[in-house]
Amino acid sequence: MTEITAGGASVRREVAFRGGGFIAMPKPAYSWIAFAGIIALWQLAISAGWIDPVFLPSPASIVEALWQLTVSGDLWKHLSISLARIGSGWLIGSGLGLIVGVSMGLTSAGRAIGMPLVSAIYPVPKIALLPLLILWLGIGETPKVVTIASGVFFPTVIATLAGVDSVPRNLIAMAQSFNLPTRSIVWKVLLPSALPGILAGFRISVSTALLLVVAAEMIGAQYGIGAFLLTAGNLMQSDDLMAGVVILSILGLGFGAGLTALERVLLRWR
Amino acid sequence: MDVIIDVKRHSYDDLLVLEDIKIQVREGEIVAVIGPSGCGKSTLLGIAGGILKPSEGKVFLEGNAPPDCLNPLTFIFQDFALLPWRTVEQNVGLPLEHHKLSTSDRQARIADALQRTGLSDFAKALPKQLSGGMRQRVGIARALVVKPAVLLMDEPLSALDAQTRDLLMEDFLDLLLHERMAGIYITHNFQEALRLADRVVVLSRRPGRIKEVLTIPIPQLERTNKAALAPLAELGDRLWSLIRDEASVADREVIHD
Repeated sequence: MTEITAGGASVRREVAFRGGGFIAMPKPAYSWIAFAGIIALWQLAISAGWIDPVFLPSPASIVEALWQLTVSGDLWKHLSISLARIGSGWLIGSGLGLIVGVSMGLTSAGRAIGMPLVSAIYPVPKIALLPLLILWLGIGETPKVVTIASGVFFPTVIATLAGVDSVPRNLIAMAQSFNLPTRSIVWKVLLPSALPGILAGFRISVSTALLLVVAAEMIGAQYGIGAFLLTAGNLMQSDDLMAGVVILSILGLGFGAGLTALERVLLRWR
Repeated sequence: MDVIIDVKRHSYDDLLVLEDIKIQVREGEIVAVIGPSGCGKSTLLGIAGGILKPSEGKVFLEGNAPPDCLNPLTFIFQDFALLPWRTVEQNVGLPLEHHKLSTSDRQARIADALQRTGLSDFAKALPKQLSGGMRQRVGIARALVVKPAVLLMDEPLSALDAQTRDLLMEDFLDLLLHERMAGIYITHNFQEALRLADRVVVLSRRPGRIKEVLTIPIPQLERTNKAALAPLAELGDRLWSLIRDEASVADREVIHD
């Protein structure tokens, strides 16, 4: 506090600023500098011999491994299979999750029946079901796709239910007061209003799908990113292994960016 | 078209909210309903509009709705109840979408409602781009588009600042007087009740019962005249004396909840 005048009994002081802070400012340059710094330090640590490249390959050798995977066609072979599994599993799980989530949100019977089942099965790691699914469905694509679908299904149900529950009741009352048919209320009021919650659920379910595809391919697959990672690990090809990890990271970022773009289009009204 | 409300009782589980409410609102008449917080005003409006089912009682419509009326009992909501992903004209057009209207008729209705509420230049705007007053105008336009016979207004101005409230109140009055609709106007605000209503129904604290019905003998268009100020102030005092004690109890009850 700065004293400006002090004469006689009265003292005038400037009021010190106490606000500010607690606001995250965008600093994109910081992100790039930090990222580049870590990569440079990592490369330096390998080049200087501080770290054995068998345990942690250098960024340059990872890039080299990625390049070799690309030109040999192996990258696309593994990636296309993983993407097909993720795509089909995610679409099936999300589609069913949306239907079940909306049904549970809209009907008391649906909620009464669905809630205990979802609560009981959701915490079970879905990969634990893969051996059982292989027993039921045989070795092949189906058990992997079903594992991914089951992993995607539950977060979608929960996000959709939460989205439907969060729809302001006054909007439904408004629609009812104009005698909108139930179907119109669902399509024109409820689902658009629940969309932010549903899309947030998609973000979680996409990560789950990525995680499950790797796990499922590690258990029983010849091709796919998970199978590639397992083979590279078994052969101590740590540069290939890290290249696989980089591919997964890029996939995750790509899915996230895709969802952000979707949110920008579908939720531009927010 | 008249609306007749005859609610013997309405309760939420064991909590009796309304009892012995009989109100008839005639075509062209505006009835304001006031009462302390929690007396069931909004519940009563919900029952009147058919979106709440009374525990015991009925609501009747008497007479013929205007020939082009698509929704005789139409609400205007306190919080506007706009769909934020729809533009102004899409919000206004929502109540028409399940009616078999020609495109030209639909567009004419929307254009007319927008023009009457001063929204023609904002047809493509999203609700988030509008002020509170403009949002409520969208709510009013959405009500007008179905050419209602009875307008049910649940504290339509309470979410707005004082200046916007005054401006919109005059627009409301203009609308209600010109359209010859019956109107039920729920409010906490004596000024609004005394400016708009032909009669003011005062409800008691829970369970809401009709405590008194005051008729305002001065035509709405004359209420801003100097000569009307004293009798209106007297009526305001009378209203306040009717609900002051109960409002105070209701206030303490809310705090202790």
